[in-house]
Amino acid sequence: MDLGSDRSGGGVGAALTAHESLSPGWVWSLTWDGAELGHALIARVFPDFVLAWPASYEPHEFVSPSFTDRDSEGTPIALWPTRETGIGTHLLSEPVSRVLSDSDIRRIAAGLDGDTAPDVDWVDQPAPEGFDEDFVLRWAEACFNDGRPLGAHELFLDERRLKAKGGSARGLAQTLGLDPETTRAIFRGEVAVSAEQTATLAESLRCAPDDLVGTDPADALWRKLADPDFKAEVVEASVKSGLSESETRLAAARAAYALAARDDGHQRDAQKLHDALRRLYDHDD
Amino acid sequence: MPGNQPDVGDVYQVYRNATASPASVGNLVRPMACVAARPSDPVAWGAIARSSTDGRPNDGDVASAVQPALGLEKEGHWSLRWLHSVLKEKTGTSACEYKGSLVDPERSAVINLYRNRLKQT
Repeated sequence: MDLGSDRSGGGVGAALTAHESLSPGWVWSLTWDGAELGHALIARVFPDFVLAWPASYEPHEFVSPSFTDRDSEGTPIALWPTRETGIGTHLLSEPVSRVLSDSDIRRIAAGLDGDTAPDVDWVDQPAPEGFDEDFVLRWAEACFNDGRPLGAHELFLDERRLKAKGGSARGLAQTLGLDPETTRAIFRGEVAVSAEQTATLAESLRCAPDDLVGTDPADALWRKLADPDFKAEVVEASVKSGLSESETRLAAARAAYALAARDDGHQRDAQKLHDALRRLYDHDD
Repeated sequence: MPGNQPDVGDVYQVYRNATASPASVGNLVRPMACVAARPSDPVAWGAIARSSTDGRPNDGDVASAVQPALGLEKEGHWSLRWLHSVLKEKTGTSACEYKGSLVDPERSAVINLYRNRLKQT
């Protein structure tokens, strides 16, 4: 496909930062927890996810309903625009090559949305039995990978909601029998509360447990850590610490949040995340 | 609609084994709306899932009120984050049960969210 003046990029193996290539038309490799998930072409970038078309360099996967093109090195690649999916940026590992222009992506997608086949090199080779179903399931699995450890959807007190129901740090300590350090950590959202603790607190304030809890306050830092610029560091910390990638991301975000709550807010979030990742395995620091 | 070929705006309750491996998905069942019927595709249609916990209104997610008739028991958002394909062979079965269709203005908002998904703001 002729990219014209829109064509750019350094090709396979070029030294690129993540942000230069985190843009429509680029093919990235995807990994999770040490496993290679394949390749995908970015169709649009959002703050913590991308819309992507599955892609493959494997000739045996050049089957319908994909079309083929060539990357900036001239290597054939198959793309599946009808299997477009949302992918968390935490899965993006390395940029590989720019294949399409932004305008080509929109033209192809618009044709397909009208259920007309755009003028590209569609593959005639039918998929072998079972391939289509496995392919759909594999990419749906990648879509629903939210990067969190299973069962990690913990409860965090929401200070604003707690106060709106008449709660306070002192009341929290008295009702749950907590020491000052634990009270402060729970009140600030640095530490999760159990369902039992939440129920006890809610009963004392005559409200529903859901009225007192909110989202993980470290979530903004978790999302920042999902920036592909952090991927190599996260993988290194995961390998050296023995934690899974999801555990590594959560532990680093929580540690950075605790640091942010104690000093200069969000001014140095990136540095706090770098430090938190290193401390997961460098205990002398 | 009942059967395995949805219309745009149809809502299904999709069990996780109809879209993904059980180990990777938090919720047992997710509401999903058809945004790309793909009638000429024998394998899959395009859906966006509705989340009651992970809305991104700043990214354009469409707010969705409680609608028990459609199996939507909590407030939520239709989100491009969860755009993916659903197998037609599962559609209309107990693994992917038809619940009804969105009505305007929510239906139009969800369709517009999808059709404008690649336009940079």
